[in-house]
Amino acid sequence: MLNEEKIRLMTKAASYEAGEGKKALAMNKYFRGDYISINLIGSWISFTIAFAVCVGVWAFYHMEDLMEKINTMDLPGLGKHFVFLYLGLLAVYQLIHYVIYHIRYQKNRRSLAAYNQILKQISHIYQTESKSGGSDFVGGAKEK
Amino acid sequence: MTTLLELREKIKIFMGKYDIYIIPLMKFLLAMIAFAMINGNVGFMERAKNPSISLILALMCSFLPVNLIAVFGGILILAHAYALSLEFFALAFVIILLMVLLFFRTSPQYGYLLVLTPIAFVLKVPYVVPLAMGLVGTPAAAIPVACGTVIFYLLHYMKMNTTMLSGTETESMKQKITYLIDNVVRNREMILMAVAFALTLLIVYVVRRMSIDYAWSIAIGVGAVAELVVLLIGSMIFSVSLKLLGVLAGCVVSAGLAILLQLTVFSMDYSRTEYVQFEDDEYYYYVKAVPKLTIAVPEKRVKKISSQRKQSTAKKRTPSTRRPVDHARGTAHNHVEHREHAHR
Repeated sequence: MLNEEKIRLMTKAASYEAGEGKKALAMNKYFRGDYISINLIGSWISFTIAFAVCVGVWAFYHMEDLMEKINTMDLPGLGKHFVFLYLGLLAVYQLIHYVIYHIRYQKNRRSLAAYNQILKQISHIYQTESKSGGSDFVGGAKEK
Repeated sequence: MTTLLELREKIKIFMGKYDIYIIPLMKFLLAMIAFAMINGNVGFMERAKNPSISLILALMCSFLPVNLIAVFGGILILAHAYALSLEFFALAFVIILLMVLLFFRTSPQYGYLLVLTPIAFVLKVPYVVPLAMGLVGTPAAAIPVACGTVIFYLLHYMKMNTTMLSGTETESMKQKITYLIDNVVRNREMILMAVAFALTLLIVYVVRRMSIDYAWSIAIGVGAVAELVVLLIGSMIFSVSLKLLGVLAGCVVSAGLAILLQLTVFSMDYSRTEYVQFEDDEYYYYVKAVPKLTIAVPEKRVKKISSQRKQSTAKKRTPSTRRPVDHARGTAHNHVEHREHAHR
């Protein structure tokens, strides 16, 4: 016989797994520190590429000046200037991303807590069924 | 107000029932509008301008993730920019690349804003976007709103300077790119708009989250005023000539639209029909979960006023003249009441 309560709970769980929980369950494979670290590495790579593109555009824009003054310019000073700019912007960018991923992880943990509650209830029903020797429940806890 | 609430209930029921068709249709329409807008304003490549290509892309977008509308839109813009001038293509490519690198890691869920913001600009109601997104989004939505603003100004510049961009006169590639950077990237109006929108969105978000009565309505009001103030102060600092009356009217209309959206769409948390499948030890289950619908039926209360009965009841002093109202039939917030007065 069909256990309606079990079907209801399993439907809720399946619906969560297929929708909102898809990302949360993937995220749950990681510890918080690992999850944030992996994403910060990705952010670092994308920021570095973006910074390189911006420096390239800047160099192209000031190409004439650079070509004229290349012999008299303080190149190590300019390099140092870019390194400091890069590190400063990177620190701000990574800090923002750290906060975003931290909040995202916490949020998903909360939604997973509700999902775990459903799983516990399903598990409890399974235990009750196995004790009574099969799924002979109809409409929840009423035994037929 | 009652009409709006009824309308909301109707939309809610309708969405719950047919969202499997409505969402792809909405994605299709959004994609079609975006592609038509791009082709209409900057359609320099004849092949890409072909309506059948837009139609095919929009049909693909209707069942693919919504972010792909922005991706296809970006590819279309680059194709048209390439047909117009190689220099502009290079610049547009760099701008779009930066957006992809910086945006898609932070808030990929708001990809549709890259499309909606330029559309709102074309419809002359850009100010509604930060107000609306402050109400329903998170602070991360400020980035795509700002990026959408940049895309609009990029398209606008492309449309307005066709002759200069397509010309093959004396100017070298270097000179052209320098000129483009000066005019496109250093466009003060664009920067002001992007900053004002991002700030407004954050302000609306913060006020909306406060634990005060009517937080949403207050957030819209504060947001509209903040938007106006930031734009005015910014225009003075950066020496940008904004049409004061236009900005004022835009903010007022946008606040009105935001209130309308709040009443009809944003406060609507509809449950939709879901199809799930799972199994246990004994069965495979293919379940269609249909949400229960609680419809607030307009309750009619008829109050009869006649001089005879009034006199007689006054004599008898019995409270039976009033028909008891069944309060249990509707929830407090969606209770709709129509009163009909019988005339003497």
